[in-house]
Amino acid sequence: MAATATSVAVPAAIDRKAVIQRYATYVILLGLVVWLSANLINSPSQFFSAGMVGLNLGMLYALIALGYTLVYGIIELINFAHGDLFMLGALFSGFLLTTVMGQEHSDFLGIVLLLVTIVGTMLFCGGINVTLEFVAYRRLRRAPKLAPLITAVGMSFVLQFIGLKWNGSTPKQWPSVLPEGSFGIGEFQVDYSLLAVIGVTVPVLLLLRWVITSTRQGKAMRAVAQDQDAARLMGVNVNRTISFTFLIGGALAGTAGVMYQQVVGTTAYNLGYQLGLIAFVSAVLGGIGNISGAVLGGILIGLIQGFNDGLPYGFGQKWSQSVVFAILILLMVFKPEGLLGRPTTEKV
Amino acid sequence: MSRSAKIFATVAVTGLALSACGGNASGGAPDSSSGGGTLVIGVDLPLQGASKDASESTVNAMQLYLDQIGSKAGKYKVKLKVYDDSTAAKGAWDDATCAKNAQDHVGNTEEVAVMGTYNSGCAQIIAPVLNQDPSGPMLMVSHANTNPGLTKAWEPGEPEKYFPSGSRSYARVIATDDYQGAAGAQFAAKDLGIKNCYVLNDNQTYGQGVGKAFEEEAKKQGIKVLGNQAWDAKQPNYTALFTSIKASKPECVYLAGIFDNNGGQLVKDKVKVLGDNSKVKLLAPDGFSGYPEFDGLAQAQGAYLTFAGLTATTLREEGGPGADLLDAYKKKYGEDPATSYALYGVEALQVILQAIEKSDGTRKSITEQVFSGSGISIPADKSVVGKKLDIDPKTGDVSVLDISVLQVTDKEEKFLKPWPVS
Repeated sequence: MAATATSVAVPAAIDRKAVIQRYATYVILLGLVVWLSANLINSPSQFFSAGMVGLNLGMLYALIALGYTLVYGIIELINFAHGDLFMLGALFSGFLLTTVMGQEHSDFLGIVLLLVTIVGTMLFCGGINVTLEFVAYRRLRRAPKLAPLITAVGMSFVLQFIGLKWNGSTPKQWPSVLPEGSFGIGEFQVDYSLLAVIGVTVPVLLLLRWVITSTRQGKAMRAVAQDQDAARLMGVNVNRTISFTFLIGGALAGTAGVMYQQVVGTTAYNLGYQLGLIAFVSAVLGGIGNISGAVLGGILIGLIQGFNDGLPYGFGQKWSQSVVFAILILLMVFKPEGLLGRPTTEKV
Repeated sequence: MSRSAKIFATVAVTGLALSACGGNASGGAPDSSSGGGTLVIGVDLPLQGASKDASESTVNAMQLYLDQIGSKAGKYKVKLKVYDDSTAAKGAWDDATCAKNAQDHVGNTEEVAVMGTYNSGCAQIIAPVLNQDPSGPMLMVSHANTNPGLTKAWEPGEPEKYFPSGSRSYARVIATDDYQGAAGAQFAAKDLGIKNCYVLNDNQTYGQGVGKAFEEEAKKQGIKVLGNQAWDAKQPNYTALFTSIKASKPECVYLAGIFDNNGGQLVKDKVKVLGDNSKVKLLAPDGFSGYPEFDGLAQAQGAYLTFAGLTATTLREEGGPGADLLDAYKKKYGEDPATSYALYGVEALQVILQAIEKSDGTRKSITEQVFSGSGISIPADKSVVGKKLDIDPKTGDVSVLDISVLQVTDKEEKFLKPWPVS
């Protein structure tokens, strides 16, 4: 009898919790729909403009978030230095394109040199990330998780200091070689810069997926992510695979840096901290370790910020961060693994 | 413990005790037997973060001036001790660091006065601590605090709450935001014919203060203030912010804050969404003045700036001690100071040096020279701002209330006109 009572009571408790969660989610979604609809009816052109701004921002967040999620997916390290690596990438790209190559205008040569800059910055950031892994993280791979985390925070300060010396304390303005202006679809305008960001982010995402799912190195990465010792026994060179992961992660930070420098055009030594944090939140929102999740998370956060800052019925810019984190906390309560993440259990 | 270790420990403890006895408990009273002695002036500035370059050039200019005059004030030898009121993590001045610095100023018995701070918010923390110094009050002279409340009634309880001892100990050599914000609004109404304007502030004490002053005067001048909201310095861009502002169709935007707080991006996005500065006028206070990065921006061309004093460019053109110092600075460091406030840092130093010269070398006496009798007066031929400068002994405010209106043209801040202070 006791056994029967227990088996009946547990599902009932689970059901009650699930029902509460479901209704809470419906209430939040309903609130969101009402808010967006009210704004859309009030000012459709402002609504779509804010959406475009948010999408543009979200794509940049997604590019940074990809590097975070990739490293976390393989060695479960929250690489806090990633945001600052992105900042150095933005600085390096400006230095390479504007100072070294002297390109300040949008023309055919500018686009060619931009492609050269992207490759150069990917190599620069990839190289720094591999060096960081070798110098700071490799020896702590089997240490308690707090040790590499604190080391990553320390590396973040080191990179920030380099940025301070390089950029100076005042934000620096750079020219862009991307075509200026926008084109109209109905009542609202789409910036050419958005097309450029999409034109870079989508191929990078597809390439990354192909590398991870279809190449020998990608299989090795997935094997290392699952169980390093087992992968080693199967003949996978774990150190090389992790270095490769950092190389790819760094290259992604470099790509994001170039696009940021071109689209936004302002670099600051502390840029990486703020954007790195937002990108990390994007990765968590989408499900950290999941590549598509990082992109989805980035775009969602960009859209939330765009709508919050630009709509007639929004909280305004000073509440931007609060709104983003409030949404993240709500999601974590109902879906801790993130939007596209899968629930995992602790290995014993 | 071995015999030699005991002897070493005894010598060390005795040495420490003697050095403690030799300390100066009178708050800066120098060794009179040497006919003067050495006094220390604390310099309290944000040396990390966005204001680092501005602070470093201020310290450099002060040290250069001190070297030029032989590091002397009357019979006393003077040296500077630099304190950082910012943190790397925050990248800006920090409340806790300002509070700690205040204790350190009081605790350093050789120190007799403080030059600083750059940020009014930090001064609001330090001033009351220095004022309660048992051997003081200890003098503080700022070159850049423009928040009115530090010396005059502005917010409730101001300025009395900064002087708990009942007597004043804080002075400044720059005009306050109520003059500057008002000048900006009067210029917008009378010269530009603006009928409505949107105010953005950087959410700091300075930005909020000057924004409030602009808003109040704008209303008096018949300008409709469409909104006054903060911009977040850590945002990657402000396109969405200006998209929402665009709906109110402003004729002008007033940026109440500091360029360091992502002002370049703000200006770029203003032009991107609202149009260039001939279409929707852009006005800003001195927080945007003196930055080559701002002046060089294509989107900044045509912007109007007010400056609570005279800019380095104007001072150089006028000649005199300020121009000489600027030339010497360029010769030594290979570039101009990063901010026009560097010369005002030297001006604040001049006030402190004269107070030291007239005093008996103690903190109390130095402060009294500024806040009693006719106060401090720097003659025009010695003042690095090119004009006779008096500090009002009743308030600590400066007599020279220059407000300059500048316009960014051809990547330079060009002096447009002086604005009468009323």
